[in-house]
Amino acid sequence: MKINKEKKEQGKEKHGKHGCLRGCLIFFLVIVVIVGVFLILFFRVPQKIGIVKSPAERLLAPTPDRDGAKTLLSEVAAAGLNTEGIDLYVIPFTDTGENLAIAVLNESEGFSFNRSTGHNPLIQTMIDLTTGDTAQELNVTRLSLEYRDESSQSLMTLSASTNDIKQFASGAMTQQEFMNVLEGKINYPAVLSTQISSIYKFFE
Amino acid sequence: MKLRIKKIIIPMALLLFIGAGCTRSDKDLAIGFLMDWAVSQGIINEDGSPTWSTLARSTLGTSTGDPQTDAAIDAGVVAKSIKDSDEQIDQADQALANDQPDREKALDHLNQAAKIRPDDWYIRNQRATVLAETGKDPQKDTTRADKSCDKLADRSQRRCLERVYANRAEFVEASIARQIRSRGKVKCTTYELQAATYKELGRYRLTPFEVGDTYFDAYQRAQTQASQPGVTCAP
Repeated sequence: MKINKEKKEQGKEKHGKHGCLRGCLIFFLVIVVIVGVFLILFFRVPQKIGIVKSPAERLLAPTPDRDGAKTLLSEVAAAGLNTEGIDLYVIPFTDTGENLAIAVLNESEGFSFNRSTGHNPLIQTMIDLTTGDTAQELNVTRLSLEYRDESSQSLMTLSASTNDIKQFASGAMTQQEFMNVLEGKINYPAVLSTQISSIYKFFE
Repeated sequence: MKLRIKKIIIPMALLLFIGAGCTRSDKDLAIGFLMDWAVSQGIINEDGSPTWSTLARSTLGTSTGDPQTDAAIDAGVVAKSIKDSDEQIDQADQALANDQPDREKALDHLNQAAKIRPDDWYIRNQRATVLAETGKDPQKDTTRADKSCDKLADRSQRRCLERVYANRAEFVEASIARQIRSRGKVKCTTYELQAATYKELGRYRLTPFEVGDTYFDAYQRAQTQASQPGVTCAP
């Protein structure tokens, strides 16, 4: 009788230990799942693998204004910007109907900066592309600027609203303030590899 | 571990600055600007080491919180798709520019372009026109082109439709000229497409453009041309 009681208690103990282990495992798994879901959403994995459309695919699906882009490019060329190696697209945002100007500056196709102005040439290019009459007529509210090197490798994409660019151009915003509102993406591996190869070239 | 990461990252960041200062090529200028921006954004600390959260955002492209800004930062993908489809359009144009236009070849290129950018009404309009030129029904493409404007914000839809029909009218006019030049007669399907286009254009635009008279007159004229297959148009 006594032996049976001991066995039952041992069983209970064992059962209790299993329960804790199971509970801990479940708790741990829940935490892992929550963290996993957070990371998946944070790094926009569903958009990257094509399950969910990225904002670019969703908002920039409409037809680009091909004629508008040509007019804008000729206007900035007339104003002195070297348009060789610039691919320019004007495309409406689906949600607002306002236009985004996408400029791809491709060194491999002959792009070079205009260094004759006082501003940083990259910012000057932004100003040239967004502050003219045509950009205003086309209702360009944002610029996306991608820089590609001599091997056509993308080094960065920067974006600013036309309003911010205009404010900087008019002097209402300092360069530091403008840098703070500028958004972008860096292709770090590409930047690093180009810098390392230029250092090698320097020592050769 | 943390120390080891810093040991790797700091020299790398230093290399960026040193490298940017060595030469004055356009690329170095751009990278120099990029580094200034990275410092001002807090992507790189004062000591040159990147901050992990902003580094992740900048390299892996996490959200900025504003969908339009996110779209603009990722716009390179869109630019590439437009460039690729435009190359197909150019090749289609070349195939049509010959004395004897190669319509099937043009259609192949336009199919490729439509595959890259399915909601691009410019491609759909051109494909519809070439289909009509070969005697086929262009309605599937015209409907798709018209519907592409539905995705836009309400106030932009009307302007979009005006542009869709105006562009289609231009393509049809060019197609008629091409057919007269290459085979003397115009396909009835082309005149039908022209009539439908001017009818819609009349609904959306009040003032005539480059047709010499009103859209209603142009519509009637196209309908008359389409009404007698074998006489006024090629069946």
